[in-house]
Amino acid sequence: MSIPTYSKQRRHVLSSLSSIPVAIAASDVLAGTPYLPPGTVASARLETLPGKRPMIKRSYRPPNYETPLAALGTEITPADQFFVRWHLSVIPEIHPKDYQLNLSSDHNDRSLKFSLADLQRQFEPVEITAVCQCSGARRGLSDPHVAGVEWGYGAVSNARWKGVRLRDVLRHFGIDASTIEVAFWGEDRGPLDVTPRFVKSLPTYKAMDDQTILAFEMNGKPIPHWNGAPVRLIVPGWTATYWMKQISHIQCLQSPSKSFWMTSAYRLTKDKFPGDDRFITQANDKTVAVTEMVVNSLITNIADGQSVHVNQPLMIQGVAWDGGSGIDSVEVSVDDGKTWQPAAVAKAESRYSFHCYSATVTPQTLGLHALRVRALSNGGQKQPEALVFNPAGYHNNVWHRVEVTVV
Amino acid sequence: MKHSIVVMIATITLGLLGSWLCLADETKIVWENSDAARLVQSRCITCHSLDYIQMNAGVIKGANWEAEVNKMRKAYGAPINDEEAKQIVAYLSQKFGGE
Repeated sequence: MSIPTYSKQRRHVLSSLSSIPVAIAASDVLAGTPYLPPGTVASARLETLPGKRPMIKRSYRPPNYETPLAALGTEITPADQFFVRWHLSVIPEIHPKDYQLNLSSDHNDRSLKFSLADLQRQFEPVEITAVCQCSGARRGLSDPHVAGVEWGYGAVSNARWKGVRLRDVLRHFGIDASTIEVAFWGEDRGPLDVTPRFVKSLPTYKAMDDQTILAFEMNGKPIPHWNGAPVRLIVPGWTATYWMKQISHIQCLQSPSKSFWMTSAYRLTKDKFPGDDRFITQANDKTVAVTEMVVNSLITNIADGQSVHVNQPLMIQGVAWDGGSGIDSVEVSVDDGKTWQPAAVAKAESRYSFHCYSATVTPQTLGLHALRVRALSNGGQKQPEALVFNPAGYHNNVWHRVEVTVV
Repeated sequence: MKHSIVVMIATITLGLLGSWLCLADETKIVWENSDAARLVQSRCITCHSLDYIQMNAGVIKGANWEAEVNKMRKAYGAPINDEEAKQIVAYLSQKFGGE
């Protein structure tokens, strides 16, 4: 895989010990992801949605905004920097008092309605810390490039979610043994009635997992509008496409969902990635539904193009995560992956959470150096050196590369 | 580019009352003023801002824009007739299909 050239527009000299977070200017935030398509770089802006801090705008409408890399260095991503991703541009503002969740079945007449207060009163509250990552995170770094929202590194965030178990709600509703999938509707719509609603489904075993929750709080406060208020689905370990925002309708299905968003979008070629067996009712001869996140990691405290001092300790920090087995170990490299040294990995709030790591290296030669990071999951998954190419640009977990100049 | 105009989105989308539309600073997007460019604007911005196109400039190469326009028509129901689709594909291929 060739690495495209990237014009260095800026040079920073870090203070002697770079463990102190470096303030990065707007132009640097936007330029901090090399290898994006030129049109993506040209149309990116640092923009502020109501209630958010400045984030990297990929598209205004539907709103797609990614978290700046420097904001991903802590285990919990601040709510006002949590990435924003919508498929459809009409996003109603739903007052918690007006919120209603409807349950139904495609094979019996059962139906049930809940208000937000009903959910909070009738079911046991639970909390889980879990990473939310777009299936197409880093699509913009695919080589060759592929069409879509050209995300850099920031279509991922981590938060503490509070809500109730979906399982408890489904049992109260009376889910039966012939339910093979559970489908979910969000309240977002296209401006045209003909545009299909955003509908996703989960296999029943995943919907009934005690970690799958209907959340109404994120980091101790109501979920921000842009992240799916008043209630969104949390599916720890699985990519964000299943984490339905503004969830308004749940339906028990006895046959597989035929939603465009299940059968045409979010598909992976078979036998390319782990997890092909996770959603068998949505698999066909050639493709499977994208499900579990693959192991991944980021360097968050050093921006591409920075300068660092020779023969002085350089702290490399960041986060690692996977589809829920937890992180076994993280390694860093200062010679573009030729040699590696272990990083210290902090204990995480859950196996679904960001795992913070740090390592101190001492660059001993002048000139350009490529820092790399890679993680190993408890499940034995490793990050690949070369991209596992797929036409939709999913599951990009190539070793993160940050170029620095040693001066 | 002979002229450039600021695309005015608001008039088209404000009919959708009661919804929180993300207009943000979409109106800052600068777009060419030609018949073909206006056709692209009028058909595409019903559902999405024009930066979706800019973001994919050169990613979707040449005539491959036809598949993208077809997806918008068939999967999302974009109201674009065959003749308009031809003009839109020709414009996008030329302006945004480069290497």
